[in-house]
Amino acid sequence: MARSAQSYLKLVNIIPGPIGLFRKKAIENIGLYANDTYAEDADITLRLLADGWKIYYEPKAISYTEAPSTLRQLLKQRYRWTRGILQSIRKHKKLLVNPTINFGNTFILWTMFYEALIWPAMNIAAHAFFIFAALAFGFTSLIFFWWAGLALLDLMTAIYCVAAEKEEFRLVAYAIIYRMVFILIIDICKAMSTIEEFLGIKMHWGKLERAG
Amino acid sequence: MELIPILSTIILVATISTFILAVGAYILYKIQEGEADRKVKKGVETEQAELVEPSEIGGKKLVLDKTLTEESLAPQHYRTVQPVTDAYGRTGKKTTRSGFKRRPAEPKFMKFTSQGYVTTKEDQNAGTIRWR
Repeated sequence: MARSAQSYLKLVNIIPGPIGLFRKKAIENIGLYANDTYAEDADITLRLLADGWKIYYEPKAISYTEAPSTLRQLLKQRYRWTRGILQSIRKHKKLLVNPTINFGNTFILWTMFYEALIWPAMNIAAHAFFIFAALAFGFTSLIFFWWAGLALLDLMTAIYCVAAEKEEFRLVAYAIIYRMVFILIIDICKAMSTIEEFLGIKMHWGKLERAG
Repeated sequence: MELIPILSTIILVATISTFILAVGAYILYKIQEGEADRKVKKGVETEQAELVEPSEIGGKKLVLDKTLTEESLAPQHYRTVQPVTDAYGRTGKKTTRSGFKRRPAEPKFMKFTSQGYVTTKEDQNAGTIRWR
């Protein structure tokens, strides 16, 4: 859904590694995948956008790829993505602070920055405050309805996404698990990875465990 | 019993548990990654180079009787000679074939005599003019 919205602006922020179609001339202009970040797909996309190319999302394109099957693999993937995206943003920081060079690129870099840094921090802070308020002042019905309101928003979004993408409606129920468990784990991982990136702790690709 | 307090307790417990699980899983992940790194580094430092010995074929053990050098590994039939200068003043390395024995060129002309086909050199009567 996010890619569809970005495609409307012709500014998809990451051409996924498993599937992407490029014009030969575009690659000749900007070069191949670079190896100075851990998110080479994000980097090449930002370079394409900086060169003035438009990037669309093709909803009918199909690609088979392997998703993490354990919590450790998931953390490993998100750790690399977060740090890689931050490295790519840092690489193109000129465009981040100067919207006169390419406004579309500045906009997309800020959305990436928000997604990688601001949103996880806000989510963790909100959860921490929720726990603190519940423990300190008792779990009042007001706090419950606040949580229920957020969960309802997630459910509505899930229903819209499932309908728009013509997916199975049974997937909507996962929105509650997403709210209670998944997103918090991911955001904590993102926050930790961000801290490590700012501290400059060394990282490596590691070995990818394939199951398929 | 009211529903809201039960649901509230479930939500609170689930949120706290997830918080602890997320932090714990991340710390565990970093520890495991660190251990894997140390194992790889240690392995590189201490692992002995593998000594490859020639295998035995038909009960006989193959032994390498001379040290392999760059020269010995080079193709046997070629050797490099000193740079030469040709008639046009160009210099370069000339490679000659040394291993092969050139087969003597077959004589183009043969002569049929009473001893069969012989070369013109072998013909004892060559040069003598005979009148028939």
